[in-house]
Amino acid sequence: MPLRARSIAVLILGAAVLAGPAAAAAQEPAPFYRIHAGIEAEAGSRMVVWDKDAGSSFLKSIRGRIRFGLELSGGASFSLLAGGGAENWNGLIFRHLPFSVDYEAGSRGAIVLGAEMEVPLFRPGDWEIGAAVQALFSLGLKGEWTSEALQQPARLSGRASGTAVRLGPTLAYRGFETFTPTASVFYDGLWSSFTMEETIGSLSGSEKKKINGRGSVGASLGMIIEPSASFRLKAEGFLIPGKKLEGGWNLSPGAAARMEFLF
Amino acid sequence: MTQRPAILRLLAAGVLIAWVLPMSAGLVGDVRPKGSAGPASGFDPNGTYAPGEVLIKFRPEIPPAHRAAAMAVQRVRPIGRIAALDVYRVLLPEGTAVEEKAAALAADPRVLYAEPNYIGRASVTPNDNLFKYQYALSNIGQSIGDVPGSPQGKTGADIKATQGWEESRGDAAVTIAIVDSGVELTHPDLVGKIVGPGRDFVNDDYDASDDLYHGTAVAGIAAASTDNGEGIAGVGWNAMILPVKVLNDQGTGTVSQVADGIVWAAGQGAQVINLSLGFNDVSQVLFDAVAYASDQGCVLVAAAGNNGGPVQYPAAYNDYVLAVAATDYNDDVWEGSNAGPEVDVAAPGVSILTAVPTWFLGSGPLPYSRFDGTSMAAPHVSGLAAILKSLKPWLTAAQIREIIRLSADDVNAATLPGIDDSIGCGRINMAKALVPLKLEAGRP
Repeated sequence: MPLRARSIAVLILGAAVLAGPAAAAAQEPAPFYRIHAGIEAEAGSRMVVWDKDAGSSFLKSIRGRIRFGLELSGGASFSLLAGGGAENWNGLIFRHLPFSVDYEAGSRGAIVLGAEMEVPLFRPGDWEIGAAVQALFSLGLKGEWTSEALQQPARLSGRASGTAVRLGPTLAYRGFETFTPTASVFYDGLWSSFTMEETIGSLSGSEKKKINGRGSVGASLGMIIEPSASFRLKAEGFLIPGKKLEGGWNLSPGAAARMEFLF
Repeated sequence: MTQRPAILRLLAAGVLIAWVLPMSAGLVGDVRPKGSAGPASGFDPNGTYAPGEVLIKFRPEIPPAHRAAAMAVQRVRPIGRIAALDVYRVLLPEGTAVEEKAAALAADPRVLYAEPNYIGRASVTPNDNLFKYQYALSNIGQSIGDVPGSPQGKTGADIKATQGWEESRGDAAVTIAIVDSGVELTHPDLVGKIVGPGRDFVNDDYDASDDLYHGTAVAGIAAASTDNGEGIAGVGWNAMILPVKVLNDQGTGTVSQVADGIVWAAGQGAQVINLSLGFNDVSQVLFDAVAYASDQGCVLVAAAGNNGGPVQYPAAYNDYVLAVAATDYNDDVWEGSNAGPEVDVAAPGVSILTAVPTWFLGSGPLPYSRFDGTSMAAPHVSGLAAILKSLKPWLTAAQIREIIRLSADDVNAATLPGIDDSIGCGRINMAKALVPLKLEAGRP
């Protein structure tokens, strides 16, 4: 069995083991706070523009993170996030180097750190209106390439880094026992940079390309499944509309899934 | 019971780590940085075919299992399929020669055909009606000459102008000074490209009209009106022309006239100065003039000379001037091209079709003719320099010279690999100089 499949099986087994005692403990008074820990994955394709709309491409990313934090009895939670990811920067063109470079080298690994806060604000009936904010910082791994296409070897190295912030109101319907549909509208800010350095013979250059997400308001639909008081699954899909540089609109899609344990 | 939550927490933490670590490793593992195991990352902006890939079509009667077996025997891995054509795109083992493997696959009786995954490129073809004769810009094996029995060019023995123009066609803000015998100011293929009447240091006036032909021919190659539906295309496409007359109607001029012309052109803001002329003797004045212009930011391009001897001056002033040798329609060195360590690059200089003064051929023929020599080679390089300057105006003259050198094709590598006295770094390649290098991931 592949390692990843085995990990999934172990995880599901662990969840089942945890769910039993947690159900029994549910009869006790709710504590002031609980610790939660979980894992999550997110994938998306985000339209980005660079150099003040000089060009555009699609940043495809996939991230896996560990989540750890506190959840207060009122429902507010604060989480720290850490993990890794891969970001595909294909389509970036660096024209300020002595020899221009068209990046088509695919995904680059990245370390991702971040924090998230979710706060319920109102509970009219079975509905819950809240707010959420998430900030992620990614530091890409350095890539190096060599070309023999020119009269002398061309050496290139590149690294990306960036910040992503998402915040906005959330809506959840708590009328079902173990299933909670959710929706949100959010501001999504993406500020990244990719620095490419080039050395060919006596020529050298460095170009830092500032990259921003195209479109800044998105919406999501999701659901939370809570089979027990100590375990829950959350999944959501989201879309971020953005106007293409060449005209028309693009919907940048994405999806995220989270598995959490509460202690 | 009190110990159980702690155990469960540890179990949960272990599960999380077991999940996340392999996932992260998988996420970052699909690009192979330099030094990693497996094929090296790399790119080939002018490669003929996609590295490591072959396209295969099996005979229709071959069942899928046999196809898979055939690919396994050849140690190729399918990575794509054009279903409607029943063509597989396969990846070769690292280090496998693509053409050899394609031939080996094609030899398999189960295979209908196999071929490299050739790379096609967008290109820009101007609508000038004589463009098809300009093998120097796009050599498709056309006839070189206007009479039956003319030699035929070798496909690809050109400066890759059409591919280079795809990236940039320059800018009218960049001017090429043609320091020569003047330029016919009213030539239909030049009149729209000339920034003014220029300067005549032969007659000491401000009318740099050509009463030889040479300067007009050089100007046409460098920056004739392009995509205007008539005549020829200029390498520099949108670049403008500044006529500077320093040679008389016999094609001769003094050091002082040439130096005056260079200094004046630099003062007029010309970013590129073409010098399709040469002196056999060292001249400190000429040296100082090219040094002055280079210090002003001008890219100086000069013909190496046409007598088969050493490189003439100012081409031989290596620190400031790009010395240009001549090749022909087969990418062979032109026999008259001067040689020496000062040669930087080469460009086509045999049977080059270009503009001539309207009076040169008399009434009737179109004002275009063919010429040989490094004088015709140099303006190809000047046109490229002008496009580079417009595309990347922050580059210094020295950097532009170096880009042109580094991007040249070593077309005589079979006999003289590397930099040599005949063609320096090689025949210029506009695609390599202008089109972004494609940085591609290594393949597993």
